[in-house]
Amino acid sequence: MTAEALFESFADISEKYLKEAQEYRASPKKRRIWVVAACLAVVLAAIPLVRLAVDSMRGNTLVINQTDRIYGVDYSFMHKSYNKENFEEGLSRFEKNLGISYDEFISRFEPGAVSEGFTEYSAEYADTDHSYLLLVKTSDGGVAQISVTRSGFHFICPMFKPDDSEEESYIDGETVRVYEYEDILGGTEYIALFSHEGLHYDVRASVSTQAFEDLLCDIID
Amino acid sequence: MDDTKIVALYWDRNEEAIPVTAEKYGKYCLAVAGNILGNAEDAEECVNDTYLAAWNSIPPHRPAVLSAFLGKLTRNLSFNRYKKNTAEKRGKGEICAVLDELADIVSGADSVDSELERLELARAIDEFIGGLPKVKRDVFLCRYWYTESIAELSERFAMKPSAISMMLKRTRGKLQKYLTERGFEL
Repeated sequence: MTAEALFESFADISEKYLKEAQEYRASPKKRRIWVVAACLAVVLAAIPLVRLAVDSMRGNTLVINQTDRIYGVDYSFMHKSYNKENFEEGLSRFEKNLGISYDEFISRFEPGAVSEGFTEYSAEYADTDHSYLLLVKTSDGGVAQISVTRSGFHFICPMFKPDDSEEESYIDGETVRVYEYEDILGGTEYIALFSHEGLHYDVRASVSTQAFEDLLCDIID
Repeated sequence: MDDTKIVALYWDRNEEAIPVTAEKYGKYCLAVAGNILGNAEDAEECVNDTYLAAWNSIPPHRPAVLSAFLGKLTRNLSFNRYKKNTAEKRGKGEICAVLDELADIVSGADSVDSELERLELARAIDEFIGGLPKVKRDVFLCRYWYTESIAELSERFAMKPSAISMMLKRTRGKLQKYLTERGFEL
């Protein structure tokens, strides 16, 4: 098929979508510098108690391992926040350590969903483990923490070792481990651990199951 | 004037329909044609042809969304003009970049498909578009339907050009996968 033929095949796209696209105009952009809290609060005890499987309409299978939780703080990390004062330096380090530019990384999310500030966490003992923590707004209006690294070191739950007996989820073809636990205020929080295109992710959020699935789909775009 | 009233003018064969359409949608049609042709004179001619085509097709058509209906007429006429111009080595405008991007996901082989196959392909593309998140769908359509430039998209969606390009690249890849899995030979 030629590109011209494909271009012509778009001619019959629903008028509703065409009208919506034509009318779209982003509201004036406000500079969002969110404060990324440097709290390394959650370490999970990996004992699944109940499993809940949800087959979504998108063909994903979300299996949630319920687990107990232990709270603790890991002080062995150095961290540095990048915001409007030093953002250029942050962008450079982000690309150098992850092999992907920040703009490229955030293009998978809705415009304006990702905070413009982020935090870099590094292990004291080596210059190879760099995790980047970003805040992302979810489809239900909540906020998720996404930690991404190349090294395979899990940042949000560093002492957490997945167990082979746990169930796995399948999101857009990737294998993901999803955990649910009760947070310190009695709310429900989800954590997902997975790898995608050479990067390793920890995702943590107190949001609806649907919003969590939406978020994972965006990351595994 | 309200779109329903404009469509009624066409149905009544009232020639006032043309200037009223031109006043309300002339700029919009000119943008669609201009994005494809990159030539003001050719674009102007295509927009005039659009009014004539609208006059000839309403009735029997009664478009539910007049802007999209006019946009489709303009797009088809402009692309036909583009192909004619290209044959005469006069092609320029954003369409060249758009076709280059689409060329990434097709073989380039000049295959002759039946009308039924073309309809099935169009339906599959519409389903794919319908399944995209709204912003990704809007970005995709503004680029590959309205032929807007990356700079225009960057402004419209308040995203950096590199982020727009990356989003489009991902969506093109998804479209290729979606169509290939359904047996379409790209």
